[in-house]
Amino acid sequence: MHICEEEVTIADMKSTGMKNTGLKKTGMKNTGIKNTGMKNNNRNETGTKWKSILISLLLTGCLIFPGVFPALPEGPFLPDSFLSVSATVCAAETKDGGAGSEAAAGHQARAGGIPAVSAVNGSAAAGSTSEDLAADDFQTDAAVRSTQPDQEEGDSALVPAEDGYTEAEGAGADTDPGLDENPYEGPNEDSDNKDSDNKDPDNSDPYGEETTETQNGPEEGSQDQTALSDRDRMLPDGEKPDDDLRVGDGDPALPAWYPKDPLSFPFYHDEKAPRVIDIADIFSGEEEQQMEARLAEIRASLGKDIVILADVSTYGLSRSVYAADFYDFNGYGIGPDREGVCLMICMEPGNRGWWCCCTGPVTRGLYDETVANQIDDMLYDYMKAGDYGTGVEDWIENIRRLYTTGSPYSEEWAVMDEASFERFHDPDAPRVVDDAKILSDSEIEKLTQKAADLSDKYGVDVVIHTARSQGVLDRDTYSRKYFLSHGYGFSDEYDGIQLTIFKRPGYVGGVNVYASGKGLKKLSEVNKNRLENRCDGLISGGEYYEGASQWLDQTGHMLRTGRAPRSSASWRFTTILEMLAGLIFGSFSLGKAKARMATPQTKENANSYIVQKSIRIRNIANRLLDSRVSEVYSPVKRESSDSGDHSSGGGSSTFHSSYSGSSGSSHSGSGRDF
Amino acid sequence: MSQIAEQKCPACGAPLRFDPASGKLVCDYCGTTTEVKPEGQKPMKKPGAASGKPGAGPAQGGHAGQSDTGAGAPQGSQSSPGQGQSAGNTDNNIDSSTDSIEGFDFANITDSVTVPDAGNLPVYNCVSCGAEVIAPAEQVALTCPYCGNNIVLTDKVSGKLRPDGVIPFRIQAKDLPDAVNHFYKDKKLLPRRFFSESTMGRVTGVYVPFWVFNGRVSGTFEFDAQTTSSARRGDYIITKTDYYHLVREAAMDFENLPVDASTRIEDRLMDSLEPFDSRETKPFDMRYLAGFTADRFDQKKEDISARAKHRMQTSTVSAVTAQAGAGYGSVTPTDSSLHAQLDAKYILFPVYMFDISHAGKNYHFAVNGQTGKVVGDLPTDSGVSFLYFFKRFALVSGGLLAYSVGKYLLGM
Repeated sequence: MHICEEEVTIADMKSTGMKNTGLKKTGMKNTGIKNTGMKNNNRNETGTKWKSILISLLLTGCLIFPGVFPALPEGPFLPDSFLSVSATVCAAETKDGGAGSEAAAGHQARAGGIPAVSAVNGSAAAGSTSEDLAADDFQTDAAVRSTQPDQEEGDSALVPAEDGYTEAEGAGADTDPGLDENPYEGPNEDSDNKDSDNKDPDNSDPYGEETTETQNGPEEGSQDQTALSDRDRMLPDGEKPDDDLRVGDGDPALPAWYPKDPLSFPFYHDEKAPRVIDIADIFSGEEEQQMEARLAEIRASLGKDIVILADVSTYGLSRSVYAADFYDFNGYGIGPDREGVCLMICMEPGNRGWWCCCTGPVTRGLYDETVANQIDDMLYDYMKAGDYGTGVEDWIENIRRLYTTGSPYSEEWAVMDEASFERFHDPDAPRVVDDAKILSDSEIEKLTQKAADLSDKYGVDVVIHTARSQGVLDRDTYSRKYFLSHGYGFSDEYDGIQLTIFKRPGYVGGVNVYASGKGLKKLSEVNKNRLENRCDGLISGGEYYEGASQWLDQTGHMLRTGRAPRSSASWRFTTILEMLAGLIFGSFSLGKAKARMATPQTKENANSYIVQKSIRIRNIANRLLDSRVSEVYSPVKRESSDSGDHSSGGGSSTFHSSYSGSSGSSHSGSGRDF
Repeated sequence: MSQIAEQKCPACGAPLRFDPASGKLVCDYCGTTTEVKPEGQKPMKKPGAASGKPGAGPAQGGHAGQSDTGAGAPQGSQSSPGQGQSAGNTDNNIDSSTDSIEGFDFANITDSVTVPDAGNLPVYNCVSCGAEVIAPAEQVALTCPYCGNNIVLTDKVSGKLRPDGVIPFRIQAKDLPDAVNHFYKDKKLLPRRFFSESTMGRVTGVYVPFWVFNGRVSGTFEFDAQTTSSARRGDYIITKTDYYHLVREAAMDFENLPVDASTRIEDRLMDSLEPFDSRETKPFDMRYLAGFTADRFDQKKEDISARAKHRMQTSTVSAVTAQAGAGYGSVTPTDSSLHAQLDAKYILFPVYMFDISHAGKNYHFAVNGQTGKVVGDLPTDSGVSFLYFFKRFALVSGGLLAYSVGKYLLGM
């Protein structure tokens, strides 16, 4: 169907140079396209009049009734010749080396998107490399786009304008080989040319969707078919757009990096650009450095770009657009799809909030509304508490986990199938692991020594672990998985006992005690509750070291005697209750005894001498004197929507599955005020 | 001189006494027993039967069927039969407009109840030994202090002063220790040395005079009542309260309500001895008094019915309030106008009396001569009380604490 579209377009463009796409040379005829009359697309070859009419009707039918006509299968099923065509015109495969096994692999083959401007295709007619294509095409595009009228953000007026083609024709006439010779550049994946709302990395029928979208007309955020795709606008590696394309200091209403012509501004990748831009100065220098290092590490390992921007103004733009523009116009994004995420934190008074802008099919596919709310819930507590550095660090970690595991909270070490997991002993595993960063080094050292002493004394592996969150697991499961995933436990029974402290800013901390082997034999339900309750009291008060240290003492007591000690407060409380019970009973008994002592009593009534059934009562009058009505306001309690461990602070996030920045490029994202 | 009646053994002439166990007169010397055959029985009036009938001879009814042995109206106590209280006799009615008391002939007893001066106390001569015996005005039967003969002063129990009935003793004096021990059984706060240091006085069997009333209380009752209902409409709770004024007419009957008629004995002691089984009431016969002391009434007539009426009214008001308030949220009595129609009988009730001295104080006790119920004030020891309390406090607290410790040591 995709080719059908091209046919319609090409059929209308005599001199757009589409004929020089080289499709013929790549063997398109082998695909059967020839049989559809594509070969005879040149209007100058009339063939038979009836053939043309038939073809036109066929093509029209493809547009109107996409379901009737079978869509071409997805990339892997396409013949290699078709794939090679894609490879020659698309820069996606060669540049996005880090895509790996990601779901976007299918998109490599798909390489969708109709080249909007024939000038681009013309350059690729000779089977030139993507680099050549890019270099020539963008120059041409720049000339073309400079004559196009400015378009507003998100404007769906990126529609094929006849003027545009005319201009392009004029501009590109020198370079375009002509339409007839190379009618096809080949399917070029450019989701932005179509309605990107329905773009889904896992879509098994991308062409079908795109056809549908085309038939329905361009939707909001979709790019003009005549405009360049994101890939088309990409500059070669190492190249940057000229500074004179930006507004610089000339326009105080816009940031200096803002382009003069957002729609035509080229995309590029700048590895050296800072990934943490703290205009609002909410991070310390150390935090910035740590974040930069972490983001560089993620870029190198995952091939995903993460950018953090803290600004004091969005220059009148919405946070979502500002974040998208910053990402688009400053060289961020990896690969032809410019995969990555930009977190924009706005500290403008009255407009405080953040926006997480996602770019690229992989990132957008992973960052759905549910994930957005989960991550934003976590981030909100930090933002609300003013702990921006820690919050963003946590956010980065969640994004990283999202890329690697598909869930922002799942731990990479979490064993999925415990039954088949081969347990191991790691004698070098640290006894105190402070993932939640709530202990100082000296405290860790002291606790480690203490835990080691207990371990040696009782032959039980004593472990302390602090974590930010248990994620989607319950605490017992989390602790158990951590214990067995990290090789703790002595002997074949994996004797051990572990304290897990859960502490996240904005939350009251919690604890969980897990035991295995010999430790489990000592850890009865009562002991577990005592250990957790006593430790929890200190943890809740922020005394993490004291809580952990006390837990070690009590664990030692339990391992020695078999029972966890009760607190003195608990004993006092119990004793007071028992004495109170004794007091009540004693007083009651004494009162009864005293009552028995005083026997002579004057009788006041004659109840014992009433003749049975002798009472007779006759109603004389029942007069209603007054009637009063009163109202009391007592609102009905509504159930809270808060659930589980995740805070619903700040409500739910604003989520956009697709929107466009000023560049016209499609993004998705979510954000929240704080 | 007043007359004295003595019960003598027909076989040996020794004094007879009434034996509660057999219900007969027994001679302690030769063992002869003599039946006490009932004499004429006074008809019992049902409650409210004779109200408002002028000249309705309550005195006649009160003395019908009675035969006195040598009885004569004591001096100063003459009254003409038939002049009992009636609705129209304003002189003797307690409250001629509302209440009426019938039954016993209360006429002219005002003078009788007053205690005469010591100089005017009648003197009796014992038939057996001839000794002069001066008895308190209220005492009807006594034992000659010289020869131990059982004496009944017939003038105080004959004629208009003749009791309507008597409930004979059923409990013997020898049964008292068991009754008293049973009484002490649950008295935990007695001083430790109460039993060893206390001295029990002489146990005296006394026939205590009681007025036994049958009556009807009727009248009009008024109440303030209200009902409340609530309903929720949205976020508001609507409460509606209706206020009512209720008027009821009610009547209630009572029977055999005893009222202590002797000022010598504490009313609260006698009240506490209740109940007495009125079914064992026998027509009065002086022979029942043999071997016991007996008193006659000495209450003023104004006081006779006041207590009875009070008790009846109290019961009536609470019963009517409970029934009238059915269906209402709250009922508060505001006014009532009650009339009592009473019929009184003069019955002698059997009571054993004794005192216990402890630590220089006398504690009075009474025992229901029919049921054996013991009542009386008992001393309490503060130390014993504290120890009693502390033992229970320690037991419960200690037990719970031991339980907690045990659970902890067992790792539970």
